[in-house]
Amino acid sequence: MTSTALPDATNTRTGYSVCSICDIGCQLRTTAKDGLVERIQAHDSPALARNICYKGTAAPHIHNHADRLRVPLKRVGARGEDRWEEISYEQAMDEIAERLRGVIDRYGPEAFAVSTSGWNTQTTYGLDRRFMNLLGAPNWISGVSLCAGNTAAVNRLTYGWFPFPDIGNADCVVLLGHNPRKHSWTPIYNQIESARKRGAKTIVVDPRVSDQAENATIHLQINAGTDAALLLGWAKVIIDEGLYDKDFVRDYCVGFKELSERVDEYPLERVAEITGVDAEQIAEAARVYANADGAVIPWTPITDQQLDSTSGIRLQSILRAITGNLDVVGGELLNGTHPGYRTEAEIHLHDAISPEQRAKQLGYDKHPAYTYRTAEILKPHLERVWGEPWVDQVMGCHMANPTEVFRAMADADPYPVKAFFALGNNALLSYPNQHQIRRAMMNQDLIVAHEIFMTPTAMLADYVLPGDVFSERNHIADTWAWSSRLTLSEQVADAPDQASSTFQFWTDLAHRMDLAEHFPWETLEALLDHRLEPSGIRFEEFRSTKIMDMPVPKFRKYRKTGFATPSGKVELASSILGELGFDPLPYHRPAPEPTAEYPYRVFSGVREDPFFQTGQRNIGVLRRRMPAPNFFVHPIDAARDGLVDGEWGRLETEHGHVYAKISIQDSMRPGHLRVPHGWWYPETRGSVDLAGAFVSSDAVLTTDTDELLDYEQGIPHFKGYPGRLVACDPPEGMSATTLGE
Amino acid sequence: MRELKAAFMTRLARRAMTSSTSGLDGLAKSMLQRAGSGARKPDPELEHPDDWDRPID
Repeated sequence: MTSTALPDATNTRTGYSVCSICDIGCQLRTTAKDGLVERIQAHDSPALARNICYKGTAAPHIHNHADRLRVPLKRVGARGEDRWEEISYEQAMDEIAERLRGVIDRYGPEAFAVSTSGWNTQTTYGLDRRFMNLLGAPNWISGVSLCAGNTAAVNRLTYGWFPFPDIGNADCVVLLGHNPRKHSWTPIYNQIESARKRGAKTIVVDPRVSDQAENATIHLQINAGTDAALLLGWAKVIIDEGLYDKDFVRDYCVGFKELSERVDEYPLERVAEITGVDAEQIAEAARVYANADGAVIPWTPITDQQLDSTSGIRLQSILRAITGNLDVVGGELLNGTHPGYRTEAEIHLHDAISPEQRAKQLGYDKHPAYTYRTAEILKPHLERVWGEPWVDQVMGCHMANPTEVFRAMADADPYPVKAFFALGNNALLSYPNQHQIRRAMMNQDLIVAHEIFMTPTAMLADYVLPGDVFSERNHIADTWAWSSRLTLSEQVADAPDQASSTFQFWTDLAHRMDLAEHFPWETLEALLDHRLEPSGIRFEEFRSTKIMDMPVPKFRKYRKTGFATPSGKVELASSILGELGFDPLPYHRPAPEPTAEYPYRVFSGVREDPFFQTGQRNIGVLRRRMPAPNFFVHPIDAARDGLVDGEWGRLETEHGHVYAKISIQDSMRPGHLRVPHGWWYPETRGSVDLAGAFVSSDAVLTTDTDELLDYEQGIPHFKGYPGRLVACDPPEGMSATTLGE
Repeated sequence: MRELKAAFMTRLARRAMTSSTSGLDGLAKSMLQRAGSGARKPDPELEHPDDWDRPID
């Protein structure tokens, strides 16, 4: 296994890449010729060779796409009119710096917000937060507030860390709506398949007979959005039947008595009524989980997006703990970070922003679970156990609340936010209440988008800067401080001349904003050298000697260190939640029920194999696998509503409506309706408003009014809200590909 | 015992995930190669039809 990341005689380069077309980060092999990516191949280690999907092999079609942004653009028409002039990178950066300085001078640094996706950009190198913190700007948001980042923050309330599931050694795997497939989250799919082959049981909780549910040992076909109630039922069974790890609970947990009293409020008959799952089936699943010799509940985006998400995530944590599955083989590993690589949080300089400015972070007061407010409480405990006061696991532990940021952008409530940067992030379609986001963006003095393709969000910007892609930069991926693995990613191709990495973008902006001394790295590799400093090697040595690196694991480390919580123990009743004024114990919170007018339980936010988030609809080899979005509906519901498979339907909620094709599926639970995430129609740019951003996007359907937000995090309810579906003609302006002509 | 085995497997993986092919690193690679031989076959699902690589119309 040797790299030829330097060009050979035929000007061909092959190197190891961490694919960033989705967020799971498979290490692959990329070959480029004459500076352009030619081919993606599976890993040459048999241990990793199956970790490849058709999105990954589409990278040459994406990275070399004719529509890729190659030159900085400056808006010349009205905002959103999508009219541009080409300008130089230097001019763009000069003007952006000047205008950003103007916003900060007038409104203060809290008027500057950034939305980014570390997945699409692969990394921000920690420089976005560093820049913001040095300015005193706390309002950084990301889609991870709805997906994994918030899970990380909420897990830390219970035991001070976000564990990584050891599926490879587990005897039971619980999937709460999560549905890894061959072409979606492929490494996790492969691990689950391997676990099944050696006899591990799988429990799938899903309103739909998903791919994972088809092969499950137990499938609980739950009412969407009732995860917390189900897990309260599991906790009751496990406690009542004495299936918990009594020694671990006695020695390492606090709040067991209070927890026991709380779960007594949820007898299985009540849980069955809420969840729609038979009581005995709930009990059987709880027993299988509790009795397994190593069991995992891997992260799921489904619990992340419910009205009582914090309780649901907390219950996952609580179950892991009381069944003795924390930091054991086949359980949930508390890895810490790699000791030889500085974390992005260290690059962030979170101590550089004053406590007063941190307290201005939107969400800090009302929905603090993943904001600075919680991180400040955890800080001494993280330092005590992990040696680091700020660890930003999955980028999700020091965020502003997106809903509050968009409100501030739209209505200056509680203060104005007037400059908005979106990097690798199609923000318009990535958060709830898309109409409000548009209004928010229309009320900005400065919007900058840094992207590889023109998106609806970029169309609303003042400046659009072309970004780079994974084949065009060096990197050492660190799983965003979730596990301790380091993975090499090598530059083999050349970025367009006027494109910039996020490293370059933030560095160049910092130099224009009198922050040069804090951004001393002249090259990306120099920054990687800095991050590798604790290991005693530089990037070039890492690249030439290592493909991947991970510390040898140690288990049950809490015996020596305790947990990174205020009590030093697993907090079944969370002292942090109590201090913040919330219920320290988990609970079920009823969501709005279907009505005669809106008879479906709609669940949205669902990802599809050919796409990641809002991306790739312009990539022919992927779009032709799924030319149009589909609503999934059960035959009974379709017959009642006169719906025809393959025809178009309009889904209406109290907050908006969207269009998609109707797909009638026996696999659906009756009364439920499944909506895919992130659809727009790049091919309609110029003929349909914002390239169809408001035609099929699930963010149009969902609202974020206070009564429909999770209390502690302030995240919206995507899993089971009332809606109705009516047959209709196709929306106007759709392409032949979309219409199947 | 399970913990020792897990730690050993990580040590093996660390040795296998290097560019060196000699010594313990080479041994780890050959062990993984033997364990994984035949695991990877050409997968037509990973290929993209040529005529799909055209603009969306």
